[in-house]
Amino acid sequence: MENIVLEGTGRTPYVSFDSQAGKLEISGRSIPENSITFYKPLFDWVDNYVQSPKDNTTVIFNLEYFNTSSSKCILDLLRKLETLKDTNNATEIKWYFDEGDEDMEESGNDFKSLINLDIELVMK
Amino acid sequence: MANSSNVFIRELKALNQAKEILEQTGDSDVVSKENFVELCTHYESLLGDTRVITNISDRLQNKLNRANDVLHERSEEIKTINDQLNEQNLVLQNTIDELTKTKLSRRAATITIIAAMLLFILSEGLLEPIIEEQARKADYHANWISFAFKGFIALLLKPIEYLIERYLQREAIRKKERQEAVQEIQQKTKTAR
Repeated sequence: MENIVLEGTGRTPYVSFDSQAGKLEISGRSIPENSITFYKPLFDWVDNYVQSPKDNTTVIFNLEYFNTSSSKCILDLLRKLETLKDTNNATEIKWYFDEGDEDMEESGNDFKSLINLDIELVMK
Repeated sequence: MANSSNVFIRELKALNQAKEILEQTGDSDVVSKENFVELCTHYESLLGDTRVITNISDRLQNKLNRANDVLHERSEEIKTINDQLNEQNLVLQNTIDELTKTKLSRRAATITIIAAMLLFILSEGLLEPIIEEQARKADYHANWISFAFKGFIALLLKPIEYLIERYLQREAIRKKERQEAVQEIQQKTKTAR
Protein backbone atom coordinates (compact mmCIF):
# COMPACT_ATOMS: atom_id res chain seq x y z
CA MET A 1 0.00 0.00 0.00
CA GLU A 2 1.53 3.26 -1.13
CA ASN A 3 1.89 6.16 1.24
CA ILE A 4 0.42 9.55 0.40
CA VAL A 5 2.46 12.71 0.84
CA LEU A 6 1.02 15.97 -0.48
CA GLU A 7 2.76 19.27 0.06
CA GLY A 8 0.52 22.00 1.43
CA THR A 9 -0.48 25.00 -0.67
CA GLY A 10 -2.35 28.19 0.10
CA ARG A 11 -5.61 26.33 -0.47
CA THR A 12 -4.87 22.70 0.31
CA PRO A 13 -3.39 21.11 3.42
CA TYR A 14 -0.21 19.12 3.87
CA VAL A 15 -1.14 15.44 3.87
CA SER A 16 0.97 12.55 5.02
CA PHE A 17 -0.64 9.11 5.21
CA ASP A 18 1.94 6.51 6.18
CA SER A 19 0.57 2.96 6.32
CA GLN A 20 3.82 1.45 7.68
CA ALA A 21 3.94 3.86 10.61
CA GLY A 22 0.17 3.92 11.00
CA LYS A 23 0.33 7.69 11.05
CA LEU A 24 -2.08 9.97 9.22
CA GLU A 25 -1.61 13.72 9.26
CA ILE A 26 -3.53 16.63 7.75
CA SER A 27 -2.12 20.10 8.47
CA GLY A 28 -2.58 23.64 7.27
CA ARG A 29 -5.39 25.24 5.37
CA SER A 30 -8.11 23.28 3.62
CA ILE A 31 -10.09 25.50 1.26
CA PRO A 32 -9.84 23.63 -2.05
CA GLU A 33 -12.08 24.72 -4.90
CA ASN A 34 -13.39 21.19 -5.18
CA SER A 35 -13.09 19.41 -1.85
CA ILE A 36 -14.27 16.02 -3.03
CA THR A 37 -11.63 15.92 -5.79
CA PHE A 38 -8.98 16.60 -3.17
CA TYR A 39 -10.32 14.24 -0.48
CA LYS A 40 -11.46 11.34 -2.70
CA PRO A 41 -7.95 9.77 -2.96
CA LEU A 42 -7.64 10.13 0.83
CA PHE A 43 -10.99 8.35 1.33
CA ASP A 44 -9.88 5.53 -0.96
CA TRP A 45 -6.58 5.26 0.91
CA VAL A 46 -8.35 5.07 4.30
CA ASP A 47 -10.82 2.48 2.89
CA ASN A 48 -7.82 0.33 1.98
CA TYR A 49 -5.97 1.04 5.22
CA VAL A 50 -8.85 0.00 7.49
CA GLN A 51 -8.83 -3.41 5.77
CA SER A 52 -5.40 -4.17 7.27
CA PRO A 53 -4.51 -1.45 9.76
CA LYS A 54 -1.54 -1.20 12.11
CA ASP A 55 -2.15 -2.14 15.75
CA ASN A 56 -1.82 1.51 16.70
CA THR A 57 -3.02 4.25 14.42
CA THR A 58 -2.35 7.92 15.07
CA VAL A 59 -4.36 10.55 13.26
CA ILE A 60 -3.29 14.17 13.48
CA PHE A 61 -5.42 17.12 12.46
CA ASN A 62 -3.47 20.34 12.65
CA LEU A 63 -5.68 22.67 10.69
CA GLU A 64 -5.55 26.42 10.61
CA TYR A 65 -8.70 26.96 8.60
CA PHE A 66 -11.07 24.86 6.48
CA ASN A 67 -14.18 25.55 4.43
CA THR A 68 -17.63 24.00 4.86
CA SER A 69 -17.22 21.25 2.26
CA SER A 70 -13.87 20.32 3.81
CA SER A 71 -15.59 19.93 7.20
CA LYS A 72 -17.96 17.42 5.60
CA CYS A 73 -14.98 15.57 4.10
CA ILE A 74 -13.24 15.52 7.50
CA LEU A 75 -16.42 14.09 9.02
CA ASP A 76 -16.55 11.38 6.36
CA LEU A 77 -12.87 10.62 6.92
CA LEU A 78 -13.47 10.25 10.66
CA ARG A 79 -16.50 8.04 9.99
CA LYS A 80 -14.32 5.75 7.90
CA LEU A 81 -11.81 5.62 10.76
CA GLU A 82 -14.59 4.62 13.16
CA THR A 83 -14.27 1.18 11.60
CA LEU A 84 -10.95 0.85 13.42
CA LYS A 85 -12.74 1.03 16.75
CA ASP A 86 -15.19 -1.61 15.60
CA THR A 87 -12.25 -3.93 14.87
CA ASN A 88 -10.62 -3.11 18.25
CA ASN A 89 -7.58 -1.40 16.77
CA ALA A 90 -6.06 1.31 18.95
CA THR A 91 -6.72 4.67 17.37
CA GLU A 92 -5.39 7.95 18.67
CA ILE A 93 -6.86 11.08 17.14
CA LYS A 94 -5.30 14.42 17.99
CA TRP A 95 -6.99 17.68 17.07
CA TYR A 96 -4.50 20.53 17.38
CA PHE A 97 -5.50 24.17 17.76
CA ASP A 98 -3.65 27.40 18.42
CA GLU A 99 -3.80 28.96 21.86
CA GLY A 100 -6.74 31.34 21.88
CA ASP A 101 -8.27 29.90 18.72
CA GLU A 102 -11.61 29.02 20.27
CA ASP A 103 -13.23 28.47 16.87
CA MET A 104 -10.87 25.63 16.02
CA GLU A 105 -11.17 24.19 19.54
CA GLU A 106 -14.98 24.24 19.32
CA SER A 107 -14.85 22.66 15.86
CA GLY A 108 -12.80 19.83 17.37
CA ASN A 109 -15.44 19.45 20.07
CA ASP A 110 -18.19 19.32 17.44
CA PHE A 111 -16.42 16.48 15.62
CA LYS A 112 -15.85 14.78 18.95
CA SER A 113 -19.58 14.91 19.77
CA LEU A 114 -20.51 13.21 16.53
CA ILE A 115 -17.79 10.64 16.02
CA ASN A 116 -17.50 7.47 18.04
CA LEU A 117 -13.74 7.83 18.50
CA ASP A 118 -11.60 9.38 21.22
CA ILE A 119 -10.55 12.73 19.88
CA GLU A 120 -7.94 14.49 21.99
CA LEU A 121 -7.95 18.28 21.75
CA VAL A 122 -4.38 19.54 22.01
CA MET A 123 -3.43 23.18 22.42
CA LYS A 124 -0.28 24.01 20.44
CA MET B 1 -16.66 24.99 -11.33
CA ALA B 2 -16.65 23.42 -7.88
CA ASN B 3 -19.78 21.57 -6.87
CA SER B 4 -20.09 21.26 -3.11
CA SER B 5 -23.03 18.84 -3.39
CA ASN B 6 -20.50 16.19 -4.48
CA VAL B 7 -19.54 15.77 -0.84
CA PHE B 8 -23.01 14.32 -0.18
CA ILE B 9 -22.60 11.32 -2.49
CA ARG B 10 -23.17 8.84 0.36
CA GLU B 11 -26.36 10.61 1.45
CA LEU B 12 -27.66 10.85 -2.12
CA LYS B 13 -27.05 7.15 -2.52
CA ALA B 14 -29.06 6.40 0.63
CA LEU B 15 -31.90 8.64 -0.55
CA ASN B 16 -32.04 6.98 -3.97
CA GLN B 17 -32.03 3.59 -2.28
CA ALA B 18 -35.00 4.61 -0.11
CA LYS B 19 -36.84 5.95 -3.16
CA GLU B 20 -36.29 2.66 -4.98
CA ILE B 21 -37.72 0.74 -2.01
CA LEU B 22 -40.74 3.03 -2.03
CA GLU B 23 -41.27 2.41 -5.73
CA GLN B 24 -40.99 -1.33 -5.20
CA THR B 25 -43.66 -1.30 -2.49
CA GLY B 26 -46.09 0.20 -5.03
CA ASP B 27 -49.49 1.12 -3.58
CA SER B 28 -48.91 -0.91 -0.43
CA ASP B 29 -48.56 1.00 2.84
CA VAL B 30 -46.24 -1.64 4.25
CA VAL B 31 -42.52 -0.84 4.36
CA SER B 32 -40.19 -3.31 5.98
CA LYS B 33 -38.90 -2.32 9.42
CA GLU B 34 -35.34 -3.10 8.32
CA ASN B 35 -35.51 -0.59 5.49
CA PHE B 36 -37.11 2.00 7.72
CA VAL B 37 -34.41 1.55 10.36
CA GLU B 38 -31.75 1.95 7.67
CA LEU B 39 -33.38 5.15 6.43
CA CYS B 40 -33.60 6.45 10.02
CA THR B 41 -29.91 5.68 10.55
CA HIS B 42 -28.98 7.59 7.44
CA TYR B 43 -31.28 10.45 8.42
CA GLU B 44 -29.79 10.61 11.90
CA SER B 45 -26.31 10.61 10.47
CA LEU B 46 -27.20 13.34 7.97
CA LEU B 47 -28.86 15.42 10.69
CA GLY B 48 -25.75 15.08 12.87
CA ASP B 49 -23.53 16.09 9.96
CA THR B 50 -25.77 19.06 9.15
CA ARG B 51 -25.75 20.23 12.76
CA VAL B 52 -21.97 20.00 13.04
CA ILE B 53 -21.30 21.49 9.60
CA THR B 54 -23.68 24.40 10.28
CA ASN B 55 -21.98 25.13 13.63
CA ILE B 56 -18.52 24.92 12.10
CA SER B 57 -19.52 26.97 9.09
CA ASP B 58 -21.00 29.75 11.25
CA ARG B 59 -17.95 29.74 13.48
CA LEU B 60 -15.55 29.90 10.57
CA GLN B 61 -17.64 32.66 9.00
CA ASN B 62 -17.31 34.61 12.25
CA LYS B 63 -13.57 33.95 12.17
CA LEU B 64 -13.46 35.34 8.62
CA ASN B 65 -15.54 38.35 9.64
CA ARG B 66 -13.16 39.09 12.50
CA ALA B 67 -10.17 38.71 10.18
CA ASN B 68 -11.94 41.06 7.75
CA ASP B 69 -12.50 43.63 10.51
CA VAL B 70 -8.83 43.45 11.48
CA LEU B 71 -7.85 43.84 7.82
CA HIS B 72 -10.16 46.84 7.47
CA GLU B 73 -8.64 48.44 10.59
CA ARG B 74 -5.11 47.80 9.32
CA SER B 75 -6.09 49.19 5.92
CA GLU B 76 -7.39 52.38 7.55
CA GLU B 77 -4.19 52.67 9.61
CA ILE B 78 -2.08 52.24 6.46
CA LYS B 79 -4.20 54.86 4.67
CA THR B 80 -3.70 57.35 7.53
CA ILE B 81 0.05 56.67 7.60
CA ASN B 82 0.15 57.02 3.82
CA ASP B 83 -1.61 60.40 4.00
CA GLN B 84 0.83 61.57 6.68
CA LEU B 85 3.75 60.38 4.58
CA ASN B 86 2.38 62.21 1.54
CA GLU B 87 2.08 65.42 3.57
CA GLN B 88 5.62 65.01 4.91
CA ASN B 89 6.80 64.23 1.40
CA LEU B 90 5.26 67.48 0.16
CA VAL B 91 6.93 69.47 2.94
CA LEU B 92 10.22 67.74 2.19
CA GLN B 93 9.87 68.43 -1.54
CA ASN B 94 9.14 72.10 -0.84
CA THR B 95 12.21 72.31 1.41
CA ILE B 96 14.35 70.64 -1.25
CA ASP B 97 12.99 73.06 -3.88
CA GLU B 98 13.75 76.02 -1.60
CA LEU B 99 17.25 74.70 -0.92
CA THR B 100 17.88 74.19 -4.63
CA LYS B 101 16.61 77.71 -5.33
CA THR B 102 18.89 79.18 -2.66
CA LYS B 103 21.82 77.18 -3.97
CA LEU B 104 21.16 78.39 -7.52
CA SER B 105 20.76 82.03 -6.32
CA ARG B 106 24.12 81.80 -4.58
CA ARG B 107 25.73 80.34 -7.68
CA ALA B 108 24.17 83.06 -9.83
CA ALA B 109 25.46 85.73 -7.41
CA THR B 110 28.98 84.24 -7.58
CA ILE B 111 28.92 84.21 -11.38
CA THR B 112 27.65 87.82 -11.39
CA ILE B 113 30.43 88.95 -9.03
CA ILE B 114 33.04 87.27 -11.26
CA ALA B 115 31.44 88.94 -14.32
CA ALA B 116 31.47 92.31 -12.51
CA MET B 117 35.12 91.88 -11.64
CA LEU B 118 35.95 91.00 -15.25
CA LEU B 119 33.98 93.99 -16.52
CA PHE B 120 35.74 96.25 -14.00
CA ILE B 121 39.16 95.00 -15.08
CA LEU B 122 38.15 95.38 -18.72
CA SER B 123 36.87 98.92 -18.19
CA GLU B 124 39.91 99.94 -16.14
CA GLY B 125 42.49 98.32 -18.36
CA LEU B 126 41.09 98.68 -21.85
CA LEU B 127 38.22 101.14 -21.96
CA GLU B 128 39.49 103.76 -19.51
CA PRO B 129 42.53 104.77 -21.60
CA ILE B 130 40.38 104.94 -24.75
CA ILE B 131 37.74 107.05 -23.03
CA GLU B 132 40.36 109.37 -21.59
CA GLU B 133 41.99 109.81 -24.98
CA GLN B 134 38.69 110.41 -26.77
CA ALA B 135 37.53 112.83 -24.07
CA ARG B 136 40.79 114.77 -24.27
CA LYS B 137 40.42 115.09 -28.02
CA ALA B 138 36.82 116.25 -27.75
CA ASP B 139 37.61 118.39 -24.72
CA TYR B 140 35.14 116.58 -22.49
CA HIS B 141 35.46 115.66 -18.81
CA ALA B 142 36.75 112.08 -18.95
CA ASN B 143 35.73 111.44 -15.34
CA TRP B 144 32.03 111.95 -16.02
CA ILE B 145 32.03 109.65 -19.03
CA SER B 146 33.97 107.01 -17.13
CA PHE B 147 31.65 107.35 -14.14
CA ALA B 148 28.56 107.06 -16.37
CA PHE B 149 29.98 103.99 -18.07
CA LYS B 150 30.78 102.26 -14.75
CA GLY B 151 27.33 103.20 -13.47
CA PHE B 152 25.80 101.60 -16.53
CA ILE B 153 27.79 98.40 -15.86
CA ALA B 154 26.70 98.46 -12.21
CA LEU B 155 23.05 98.83 -13.25
CA LEU B 156 23.39 95.85 -15.58
CA LEU B 157 24.56 93.54 -12.76
CA LYS B 158 21.15 92.87 -11.22
CA PRO B 159 19.43 91.92 -14.54
CA ILE B 160 22.47 89.75 -15.38
CA GLU B 161 22.16 87.99 -12.02
CA TYR B 162 18.41 87.47 -12.63
CA LEU B 163 19.01 86.01 -16.10
CA ILE B 164 21.74 83.69 -14.84
CA GLU B 165 19.49 82.52 -12.00
CA ARG B 166 16.62 81.81 -14.43
CA TYR B 167 18.99 79.92 -16.71
CA LEU B 168 20.35 77.80 -13.84
CA GLN B 169 16.80 77.06 -12.61
CA ARG B 170 15.70 75.92 -16.08
CA GLU B 171 18.75 73.68 -16.30
CA ALA B 172 18.01 72.21 -12.86
CA ILE B 173 14.39 71.48 -13.88
CA ARG B 174 15.56 69.82 -17.13
CA LYS B 175 18.08 67.72 -15.17
CA LYS B 176 15.36 66.63 -12.74
CA GLU B 177 13.00 65.72 -15.60
CA ARG B 178 15.75 63.69 -17.26
CA GLN B 179 16.42 61.81 -13.99
CA GLU B 180 12.69 61.09 -13.53
CA ALA B 181 12.43 59.80 -17.09
CA VAL B 182 15.43 57.50 -16.56
CA GLN B 183 13.93 56.22 -13.28
CA GLU B 184 10.59 55.58 -15.01
CA ILE B 185 12.30 53.61 -17.79
CA GLN B 186 14.28 51.60 -15.23
CA GLN B 187 11.08 50.80 -13.30
CA LYS B 188 9.27 49.75 -16.48
CA THR B 189 12.20 47.52 -17.43
CA LYS B 190 12.16 45.93 -13.96
CA THR B 191 8.39 45.31 -14.17
CA ALA B 192 8.72 43.82 -17.66
CA ARG B 193 11.32 41.36 -16.33
